[in-house]
Amino acid sequence: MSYYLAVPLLLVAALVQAAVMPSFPVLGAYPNLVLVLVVSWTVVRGQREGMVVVPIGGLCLGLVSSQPVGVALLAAAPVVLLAELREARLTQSDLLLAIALVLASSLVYETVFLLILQVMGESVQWWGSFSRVILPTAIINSLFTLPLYWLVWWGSTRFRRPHSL
Amino acid sequence: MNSRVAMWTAGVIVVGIALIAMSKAGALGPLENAVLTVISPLEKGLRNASDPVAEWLTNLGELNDLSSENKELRAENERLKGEVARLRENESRLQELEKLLQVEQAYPDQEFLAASVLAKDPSNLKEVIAIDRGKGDGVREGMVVVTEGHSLVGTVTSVLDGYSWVTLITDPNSAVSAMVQESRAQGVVTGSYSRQLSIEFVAQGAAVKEGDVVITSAIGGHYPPGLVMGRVTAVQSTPQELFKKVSVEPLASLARLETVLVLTSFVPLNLESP
Repeated sequence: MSYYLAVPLLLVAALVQAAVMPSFPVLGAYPNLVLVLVVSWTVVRGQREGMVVVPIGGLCLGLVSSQPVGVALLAAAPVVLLAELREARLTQSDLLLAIALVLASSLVYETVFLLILQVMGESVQWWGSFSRVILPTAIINSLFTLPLYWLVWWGSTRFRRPHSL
Repeated sequence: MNSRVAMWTAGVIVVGIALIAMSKAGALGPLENAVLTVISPLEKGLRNASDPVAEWLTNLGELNDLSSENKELRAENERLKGEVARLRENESRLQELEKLLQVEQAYPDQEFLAASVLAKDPSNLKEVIAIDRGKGDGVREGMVVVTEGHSLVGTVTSVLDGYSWVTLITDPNSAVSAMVQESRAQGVVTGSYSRQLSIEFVAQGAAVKEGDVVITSAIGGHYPPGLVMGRVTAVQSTPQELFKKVSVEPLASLARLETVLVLTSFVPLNLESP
């Protein structure tokens, strides 16, 4: 799938996340569509493409966020490291792997995000944020994996391109 | 982890930190402003399109509550009909006079700048909204933002040329000097990760009860006194604690804001020139 698709896809996801999703909270939180998309992309197309789409996703999120632009980029970076699990082939099902990776990536993303906020001087309540935001967000992201993973998988088969960078 | 991934990670960390530093220094302001300029019509369109669906879903979720509330309202309606008949003659004239009087007395010298809400910060960890007014419109960091009904929304925390970010009072890092209108009990209203408000540091002896109105106090000089924030929904008091635990429900529907007013005539103490 062409990287040219990644930019509009992730930008639209970031827009929908900022403009629409806050009106539809589930368990008091709403999904991180960009994160779910980049994890799905990495599972479908591999770690090498993840190394391109993860920074694009991080930048798209940063540009529609009130936080400094690099925060989301740093928080999303561990997705590529977690994608090492894909190469280990712990499960035969890519969808199950995607759901597991989205769950793990969400927990890591929100934790790193919070850590950066704390380093920048904001006061952080770790337990409160974990039980009320981080965990619900990870669960909701996992629920959104099915349609978004399917979208990326469909795009990958429809707009096939060589695996090389 | 192979060397390629290690190099990539190091590169992303360096670029990320550099971007944060540049963003903090304001060097990326023009880029952020340009991006918001391009995407704001799209965001507005998406919000407008999704609002009716969100409202319908909210109403669906509150169906049981609405049913019992409806019964109560019917009873109250019958009682009020009698009073309405008596007051009908004077009602419209009185309402007009009251409105004028209230606005002039409460905000005699205040100037407001209306702004549309474009989006919310995409992170669940932050309660921050974007509005379509910025430096060019006279908006400055620290300015107070209220609803059209003049209840407190939050403060401007970041300003670009044509846009601003407003941190809501429900943000976990928000703290507003407040008082309970009925008893004049002082405290600090703080936000939380559950998007609820509570008043901290309310003395055990203070008379606070459910339904009391919570307003801003002048302490600290960051907010004009008397802006409504919400109503007390629960009071917990244990003898071994120094302070009461007071929960507050915001009066404004902060999750569904469309238009807000930036209070341009009130200058918070930290914005005053030395």
